Amino acid sequence: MTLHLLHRRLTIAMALAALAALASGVQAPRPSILVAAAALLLGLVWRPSARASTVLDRVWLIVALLLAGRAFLSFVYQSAEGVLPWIDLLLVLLASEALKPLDAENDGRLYGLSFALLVASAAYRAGVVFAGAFMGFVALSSVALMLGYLRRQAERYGVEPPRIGRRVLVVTLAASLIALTTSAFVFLSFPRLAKGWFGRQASAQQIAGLGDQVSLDAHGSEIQSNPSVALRVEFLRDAPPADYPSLHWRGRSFDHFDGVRWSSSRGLHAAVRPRSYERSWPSAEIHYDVYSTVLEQRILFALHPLLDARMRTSISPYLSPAGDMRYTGDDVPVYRATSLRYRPPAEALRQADGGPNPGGWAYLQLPDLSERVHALADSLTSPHGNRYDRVAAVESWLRTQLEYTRELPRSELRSPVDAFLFERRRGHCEYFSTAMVMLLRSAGIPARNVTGFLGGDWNEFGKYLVVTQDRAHSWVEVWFPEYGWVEFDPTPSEVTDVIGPDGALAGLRLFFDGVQHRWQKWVLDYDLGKQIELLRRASAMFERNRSRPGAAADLPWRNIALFLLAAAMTAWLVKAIRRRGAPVAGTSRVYLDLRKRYGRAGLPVPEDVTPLAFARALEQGSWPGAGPARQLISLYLESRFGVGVPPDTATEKQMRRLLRQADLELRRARRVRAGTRAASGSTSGAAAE
Amino acid sequence: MATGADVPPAGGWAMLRPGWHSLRRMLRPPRRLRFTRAGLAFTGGTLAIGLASINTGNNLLYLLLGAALGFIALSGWLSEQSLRRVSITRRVPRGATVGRATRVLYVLSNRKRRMSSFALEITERELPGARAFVVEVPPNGSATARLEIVFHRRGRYSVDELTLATSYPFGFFTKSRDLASLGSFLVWPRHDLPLREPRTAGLRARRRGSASAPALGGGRGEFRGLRDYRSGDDPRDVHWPSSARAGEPVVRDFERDDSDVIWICLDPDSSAGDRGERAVEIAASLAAGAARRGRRFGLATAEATITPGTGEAQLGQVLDLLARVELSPGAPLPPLPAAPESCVLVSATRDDTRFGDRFLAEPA
Repeated sequence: MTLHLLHRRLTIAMALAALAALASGVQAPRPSILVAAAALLLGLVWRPSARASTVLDRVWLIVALLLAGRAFLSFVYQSAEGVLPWIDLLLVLLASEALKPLDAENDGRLYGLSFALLVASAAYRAGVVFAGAFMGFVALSSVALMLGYLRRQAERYGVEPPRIGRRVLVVTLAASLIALTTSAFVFLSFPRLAKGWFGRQASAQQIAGLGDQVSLDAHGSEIQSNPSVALRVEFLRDAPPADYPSLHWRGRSFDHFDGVRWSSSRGLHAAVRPRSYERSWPSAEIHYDVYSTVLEQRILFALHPLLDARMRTSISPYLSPAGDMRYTGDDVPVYRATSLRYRPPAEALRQADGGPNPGGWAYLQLPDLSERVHALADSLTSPHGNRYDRVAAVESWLRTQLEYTRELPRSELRSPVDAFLFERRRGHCEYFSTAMVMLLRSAGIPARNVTGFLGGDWNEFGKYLVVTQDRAHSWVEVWFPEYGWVEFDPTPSEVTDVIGPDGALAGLRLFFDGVQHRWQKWVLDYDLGKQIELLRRASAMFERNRSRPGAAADLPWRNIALFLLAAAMTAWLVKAIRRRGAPVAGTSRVYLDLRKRYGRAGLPVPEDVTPLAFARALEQGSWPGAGPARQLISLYLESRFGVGVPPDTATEKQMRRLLRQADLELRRARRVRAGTRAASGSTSGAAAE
Repeated sequence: MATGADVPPAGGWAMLRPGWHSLRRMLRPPRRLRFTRAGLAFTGGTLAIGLASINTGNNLLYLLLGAALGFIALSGWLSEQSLRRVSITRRVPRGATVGRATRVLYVLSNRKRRMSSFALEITERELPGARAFVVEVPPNGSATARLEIVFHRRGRYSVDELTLATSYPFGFFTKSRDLASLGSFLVWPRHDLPLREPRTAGLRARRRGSASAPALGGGRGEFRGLRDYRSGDDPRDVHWPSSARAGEPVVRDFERDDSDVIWICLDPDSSAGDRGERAVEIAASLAAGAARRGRRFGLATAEATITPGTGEAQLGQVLDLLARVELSPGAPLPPLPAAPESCVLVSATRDDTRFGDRFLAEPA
């Protein structure tokens, strides 16, 4: 491959790496990327003729002008497309440059456009693929820039371009580690002063059951397995609570039900302030970091009751009148939350009865329900004397008497609750929670429907809980004076068994999610706080090891040993490469092997002895195997120094055969000598006796 | 690459030059760095990414910023590897002539065991614009770079230092280091002016009909004996049987007729400005013409006198002296080695009729 061709291919590979980085971003323009990738791949194997190039140039010019016009208009009218038209233009320019003839002086443009693409991909909140693409880009560009420079200099001075050997390529590739190391160092150490940025954020997602309105009948048959991640939760002690599968990640609440759908009423009274829960609830707190995806409804998910939430990204939280934690801002929600771990004990709740209702009528409003619903509520609650027992009775009845299913056919029932309770007797979580709220309100107990996520899967690799979108759930909150809203879940517990990942594929998915999460946490969302944390950890480790007498035992010996092993292996490798020096022909190796064997057998073979002198020494000393050794040396001399006799594999094979013969004779002689020595030893021993 | 050099010849300053240069070398940083146009663009882009990353807090931009800074560091390391342990030997040809391209060879030796040195540029500090290039010097090997220089003035050009530079690997920065390499170019004056043949005393005598027969034989006189060959001898004079016996060339020696010698007397008066230099070129061209025709010729200047001889070696001596000769306003004529009527005067200012022949330098 000529230097020109190698250089062009490397430059296109650079562009492909940048393209991969762009493609890993959210909302990246996939169709344009595919077209550009096809053009770049074509550029790897096809070089247009001068005529084809002229035609292509005209086509590119027209397309580029159209795209430039679109980009300009988009800029003038502040279109919602944002930078997308510019990216398209960039991709077209890149494709056009990749399909230029080999002698076109467009290296600089190709480098610049590829780098611009990489910069653009940074604005798309690129995924973990960016890391690989970035490393590939750096390595490829090191070699491509070097070759391009040599090529241009050779052209400028009118000399032959150099033949680039494998060693130069390897050294340059290895040297690109300098750039990567510098990059990592700058990334870790450069102080993060800015908070947030204006790049394109993750696209807002719509999750069934978390919209402004939740229709009971609407997604009866739509609850499918959706493995997209909704939340990642890190607990501060790296281990999840034992009951993590039953944790309820509260999202939002609904007070108004019109018989088919839930919604929120306007004009609700102010919600219970989070800190008021601390007065009466058990004081055990739980702290955790939540990394949420962006949803259409700006909701902060947390365990109930949420006492405090500190934002890590540029979003502003607020408490809605319904008591839901919402936020404003376009950034990805990342926050540290503090909740109370346990709800008040049953005995305490039994004492909490009567008192004012929150929101007046809002949490007692009922749609037009059939009489049998009221009758059922009456029959379930009337035997009990306090609110808690009534609530528990309704919850227990629903859990035990009705069946959970996700496979409900869409129906046109006017009263789905009625049908669920008395006819179908099967339903999903929305039916259970709605039925419970209706029954409680019918019995005069303020209650509301709550949506969010249930449980999650513990990711051992990343040490966090991953909550996927198919864990969307619905449950109930009941008002208890002095204690506020308390959660109840009437859905049978098998819900957690039905939904969720399983099998090897799920394990793999969790692993990749762990990688993705670390990328997001330590790269995309790396900030001043994390810098300080890293510094603190490092200095704490240093201090601990310095001050404590038995600190040596705490050192990460395993890592140190691994590091030392890797260093030793590298040193050995470097030494081996150095020792190897210039490549030795196979015939030379056989000859050197012969010298070594006779050297071991006791024949002095100095470094500077010539092959002929070596052969003479063998014959004069009547060494075993001297005959085949002499033939081997003749063949070696002929192949090494003979005029027009290149060393070939047949000669090498013949030499190896002779080497084996010589070696055999040497061994045989050694055995004979050893036998003789043993015999003379036993003879002399016998004589002594 | 042919390049021009127009440095005045070294004068009294030559005494102080070595000391000054060693002092300058001591004070100079071991390496110098200069931005190329691509380097300026790259550094500007890096700064822009730095500003953007600080302003926006986009972490991926910090990665790109780090990579860009890494490329700068990488460029520094690789260029250093290219420059270190490289030595240069300059090979200056004899006979550099004003207005004619002179080829200088630089032999670069790379003493590194494993790494090649790439894209090395060699410049002479004293000859601005002169630049040679070698694309690769293999490890433990050498390579040759060629440079063609066109000198515009005669004289001695002292060169003390070479600058070895490279923009390898990316062409962003040019890193250079200086290497001490004493040497000099002796630049001959032009000696290809079309001139008439000078009239010697012998020629005049022959024209009058009073010259002896041998003197008519193109400068050859009576056979005197055999002698060893000297550079510049006419190959026709080689005595082949004796050469074969002796194993080395032996030539026949003839009695010369002094009346046929061309004594070139150069007037060192430079009060006529550039015409003084023109006179030097005329003297050089007369000598070259005489050598071409196999005539004996000598040179008398204010500094030295070269006794008559023939051939290329004699011409070389004459041109060496003419390269160094200094002209000054109002300087007197040099002491004449023969009677004026046997000499050819070459002057810019004087037209002395006592001389056998006269060449006056006209304005160029």
